[in-house]
Amino acid sequence: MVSAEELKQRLQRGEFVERPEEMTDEYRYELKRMLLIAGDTEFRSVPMLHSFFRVGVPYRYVKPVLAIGQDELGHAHVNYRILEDLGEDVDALLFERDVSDWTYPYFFDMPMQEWSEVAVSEGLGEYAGGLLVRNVLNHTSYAPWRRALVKVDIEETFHVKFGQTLMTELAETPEGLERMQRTVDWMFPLLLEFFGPPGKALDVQIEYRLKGKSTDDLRQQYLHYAVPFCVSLGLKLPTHFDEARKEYVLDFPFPCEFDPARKRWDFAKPVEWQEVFARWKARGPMAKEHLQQIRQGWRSLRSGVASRVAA
Amino acid sequence: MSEPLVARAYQALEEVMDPEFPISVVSMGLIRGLEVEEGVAKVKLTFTSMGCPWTEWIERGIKEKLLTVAGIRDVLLEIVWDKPWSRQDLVPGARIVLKKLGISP
Repeated sequence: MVSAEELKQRLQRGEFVERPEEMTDEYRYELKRMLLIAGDTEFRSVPMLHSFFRVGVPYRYVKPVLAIGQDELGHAHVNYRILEDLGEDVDALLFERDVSDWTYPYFFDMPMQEWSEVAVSEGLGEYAGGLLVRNVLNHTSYAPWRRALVKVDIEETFHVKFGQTLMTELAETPEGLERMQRTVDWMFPLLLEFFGPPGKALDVQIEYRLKGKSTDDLRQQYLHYAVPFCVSLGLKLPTHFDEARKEYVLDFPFPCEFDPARKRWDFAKPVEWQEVFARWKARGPMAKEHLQQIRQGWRSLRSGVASRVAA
Repeated sequence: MSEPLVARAYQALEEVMDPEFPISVVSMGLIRGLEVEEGVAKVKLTFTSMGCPWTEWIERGIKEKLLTVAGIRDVLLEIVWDKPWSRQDLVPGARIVLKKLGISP
């Protein structure tokens, strides 16, 4: 087997990995970890999209919301399919895994209760997801993954445009803007969590060129999108651009305490990342219900197929 | 009817992209007819399917773009389904783009 150093050097020169035999154990482990997070993130966004219909989707947006859900399922499939090729049992991952072992952003466990939350989750949330996709697409050394993500990227880009339209429409009335501000107040810090904790000095995933940018770089890139867009609509975000550092600086301690039941952050109470990891592991308000929906769908599909076969 | 104006209108529509692919609405074969009479652009438009989720975005994109063309002051869209869109409506270049995206053209 190739040594870790040798493989890293080859990949840093721009070479690609095509087959499992070309990987080190470490490379395979990190690749699978990233694929699982990517697949879970796409897959678990779907029950949240489905919950938009409890809020009430205007008729003209029914087909777009359904189409986005279908896209996300397709994106999940891309990632899970590669995991399957690498020897994982995807049915077991999807339908038997414990709720606390899923690896998607906490954001998708939050209940959607009003239209402004639908709009912001699409307009700001989809962009965060798209950045994670592009961080792999534009850089990854695993060639099968890179090829599969081309179409994913294009679709994610359009989901953002859809969300921008919803947000722009809401911003047209003072009441809509006020509701959206309340939504942004709780969603924005949660969306910054998409990119994970601040990057380590040595990131093995970057060394293997499985991804290109660090978590901090991605967060900055996200802020360069979210802040000007929100400001253009008249929304305020707790961050400012520091001219000396040439980057956005958050005006609140990150991370800090979050109360998911009240959808409120306490900027006066900074917390350690360990506490955030514990919150993620415990999962959020809708996690069990969403997982239950998925399992129930699978069971009824299987029993339907079984009865047809028996007949 | 002014021919150069129609040509400019088509040129403008080359910049209106299909929401799902980096292919213009013209190259997708969605424009079934275009004429301009007294500043009013009359567009015959189809979609790839009746269930297309993005019809509103495509219509809006076309209207907004045509209104930027000097000499066009209004846009009338007529949605046509006869004959239904098929892959044969794609221009050859569009097929290459789709193939690159992993979609069978």
